[in-house]
Amino acid sequence: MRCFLLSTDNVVLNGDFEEGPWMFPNTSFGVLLPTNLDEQTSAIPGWMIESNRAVRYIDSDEYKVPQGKRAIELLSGKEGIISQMVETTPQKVYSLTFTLGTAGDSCQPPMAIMAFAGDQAQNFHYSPIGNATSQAANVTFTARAERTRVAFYSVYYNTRSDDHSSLCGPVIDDVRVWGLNAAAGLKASIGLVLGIVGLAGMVLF
Amino acid sequence: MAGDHAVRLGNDASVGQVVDVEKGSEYAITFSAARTCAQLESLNVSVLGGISQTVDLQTLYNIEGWDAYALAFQATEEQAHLQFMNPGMEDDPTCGPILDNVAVKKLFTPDKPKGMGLVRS
Repeated sequence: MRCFLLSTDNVVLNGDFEEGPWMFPNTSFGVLLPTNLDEQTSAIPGWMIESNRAVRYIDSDEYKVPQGKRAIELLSGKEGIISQMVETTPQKVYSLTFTLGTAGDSCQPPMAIMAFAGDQAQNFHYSPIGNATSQAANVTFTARAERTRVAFYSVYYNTRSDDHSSLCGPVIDDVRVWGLNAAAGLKASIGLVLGIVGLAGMVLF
Repeated sequence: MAGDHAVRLGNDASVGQVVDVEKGSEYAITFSAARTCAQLESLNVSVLGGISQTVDLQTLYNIEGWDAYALAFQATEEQAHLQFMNPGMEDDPTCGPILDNVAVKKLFTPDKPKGMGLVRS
């Protein structure tokens, strides 16, 4: 139905996770980010760790990272939640896009991410095409308030296949929230109405 | 973990340093730590006049026992009194968390990227 959706500004802060804490070179375990509910002061600017358990900040020197040098590996299933409150316009339609990948750390499948954006919650299974180690994901939602929560957790409780005990999980990177142009939405609605009228006409005559 | 030495903190023991910072700026503290005994061990990380957060050291994340952790604080003065403390009260005095590798990095909050008027289909 939607033919041309004009996207407006991305409202996610540090959605590529490139800004974050110092990482010690030549260490294989990334940096764990424990609970942090203070969005103003966060080791990953813009993001909160809502859960009691940590998520892992990873670096492209030691892990596979979908975009840039840094990303987040989700751990501990629903016990590891990273989120951000983004500025939105009520009733406006937005698209949450992100990259879902593997860290290349022998994490045992299946891997999946639950993504939340406003009133939407969607499951994305990691199933890359061919030799790819990441895939794109999209959630379309309508904002209900001036601030909308965007959050992610790992659906499964994954461990590494080499030691069967270290926690691992799917990787998220390049998180963006784009406002879909109202005019484009209107065009889509007009298209839909015209389509229905056309269909009704075909049925009648 | 790195080099030849690290510090092990006994019950109620602490180690700290005063670092020069820029008042009002945000900083991230990264440190590597490991526990020495099977029971729960934790490290309390604090900055005078700012954060105080206790991090439980678990072996769930890495089989080697070492892990790096990061916390953030906002500098309220031109100097930050950074402290790592073992809040535990274990019977075995040879237990207690080991601390190695501490880094403090100033954080920059990236600007919101501006839209490119992307046309998608």
